[in-house]
Amino acid sequence: MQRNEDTGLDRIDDLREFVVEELLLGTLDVAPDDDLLTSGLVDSLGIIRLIGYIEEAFQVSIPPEDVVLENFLNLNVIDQYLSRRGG
Amino acid sequence: MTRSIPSLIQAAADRQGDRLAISRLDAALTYTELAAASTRVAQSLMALGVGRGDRVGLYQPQTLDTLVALHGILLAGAAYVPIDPQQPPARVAAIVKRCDVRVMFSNGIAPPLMGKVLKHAGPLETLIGSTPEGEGFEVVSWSSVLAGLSDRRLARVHGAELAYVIFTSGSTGLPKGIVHTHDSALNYAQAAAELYDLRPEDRVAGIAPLHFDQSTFHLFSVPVAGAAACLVPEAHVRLPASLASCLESDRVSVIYTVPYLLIQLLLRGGLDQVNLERVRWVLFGGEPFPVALLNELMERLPHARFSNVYGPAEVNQCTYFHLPRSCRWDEATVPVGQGWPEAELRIVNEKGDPVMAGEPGELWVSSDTMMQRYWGGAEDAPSVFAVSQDSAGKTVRFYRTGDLFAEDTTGRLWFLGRMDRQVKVRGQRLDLDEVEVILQQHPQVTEAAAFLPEVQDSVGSVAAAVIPVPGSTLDCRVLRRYLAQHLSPAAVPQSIDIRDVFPRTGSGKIDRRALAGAATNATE
Repeated sequence: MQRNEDTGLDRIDDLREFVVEELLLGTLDVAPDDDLLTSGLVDSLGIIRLIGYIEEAFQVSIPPEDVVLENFLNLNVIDQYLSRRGG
Repeated sequence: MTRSIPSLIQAAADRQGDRLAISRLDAALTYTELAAASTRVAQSLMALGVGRGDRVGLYQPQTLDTLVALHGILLAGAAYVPIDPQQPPARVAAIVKRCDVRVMFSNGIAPPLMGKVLKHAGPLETLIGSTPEGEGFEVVSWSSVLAGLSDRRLARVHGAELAYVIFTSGSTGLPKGIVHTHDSALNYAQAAAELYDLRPEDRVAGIAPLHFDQSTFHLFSVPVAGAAACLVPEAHVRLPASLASCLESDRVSVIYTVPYLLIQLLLRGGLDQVNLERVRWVLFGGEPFPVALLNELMERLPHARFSNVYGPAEVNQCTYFHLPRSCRWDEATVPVGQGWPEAELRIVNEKGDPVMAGEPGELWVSSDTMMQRYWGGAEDAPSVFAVSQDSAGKTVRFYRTGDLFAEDTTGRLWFLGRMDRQVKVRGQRLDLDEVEVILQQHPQVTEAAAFLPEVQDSVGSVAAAVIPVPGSTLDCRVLRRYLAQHLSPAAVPQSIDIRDVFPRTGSGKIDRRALAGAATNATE
């Protein structure tokens, strides 16, 4: 799949689609700065699946110690983390 | 003095008011602060019309405010009904209706979600802390409730009064409410505090959400010992590395949780980068702990004791097994050990007669930590309680656990499995019948089967298969979306196989074992 590497928007859209369609099964929508974890949107299995998706879709490997609140609070934060990782 | 949960908190405040009662990240409450704040909340609830025996909803994440609300509810003589914020709105509404909840704490629930709940939650009159879209109910701010809406005198709460109703998965498709009194809660709290030797200097991690019965340990055993509960925010619980650093910075000494989370902590928690030397006791329960992973974790935390604890939410705990210190466990599984001194355990055959030693049978428990009844159910339904004589010849009720047990020659008890279709997924109790009932209610489904795949990954999840009506265009995604509106998230199958036929047993029943054997579960 071709992907525009320069715009974070594409990536956030991809992440958002995965979260809404696959994890939330379309029950709720999510904005980029909506808290994914504390508001009960995504459970622990959901996080594992999200990481699996990110690793595959964006070709990065995410070490367990990076899977912390500071990097996974919301879609914007995940996007910034991936940018720092050079994605 | 009357024995009740409020009197327990007040006693701790009188004895050691300045000591830490609860913390969460940087926020903290002493016992004096907890007693004072919950008194004002109780007075507010009375001003809002909450009376004795009423059920008050607690539909919000577990924060200090939530625990103040919880103790305020109890102090007002009402019972709390914890509701998982992750449940689909229809299920939240079903619990509200079942329990006739008229006042509900809902701080931190997103307005659109709250709006969906309210569409179906008939009896709700007053919401505390959230501002949903819609009309027809009173909204009261948390700050005004905390400030105290009245200065009414609080009446004494008695041990036999309702304390809480916890809802769990039921085979009929409706959640089932487990009713505990102040007496049963405190009997458990005291026995557990003694058994695990809780001390005032202990800092007990509060990991279990309130709708999960493990939470009563940090809620009630902790104040019995005058110790501190360190609440771990839900977000941290979901990210193992954040959980590990939270346990470290909270200087936690006792952990009680499900094997699933401990395994996540071991595999993804970065344990070599945190110092958990202060952890002196790890209690786990709710599902079996794979031995290889347990051994690895015990090596990682050499200062800690490990205990396997067992007990359905209906009886709190009733058995324990302390793993031998500083050595590997070399049997294939871990026993659930021995019964609590307070509990009478009996392994029986179909007729209710005790089996021979070593033979498998259903576990019956009689204990003063036992629930009073199921909410809305007949108090002494024979399928729930058996009336029999205990060892002292007294006629008592035994809770029929539905768990298959055997006792070995050394007197250790082993959990062998379920007699019905209840399963544990990531420590959560689910009924596969419930998943099937809901699937079958879909207009395009003729037959459905839910099962646990024989080959499970480290996460574990339910799978299902359906036969659709002829000509239907059903797919897995549509069905999962439908289920997500009716079931708790852990009960939604990760994969649903659409089939033309099912394998059948000789008698024509769906061969769920064959389906489970054919399914592999790949969530990673």
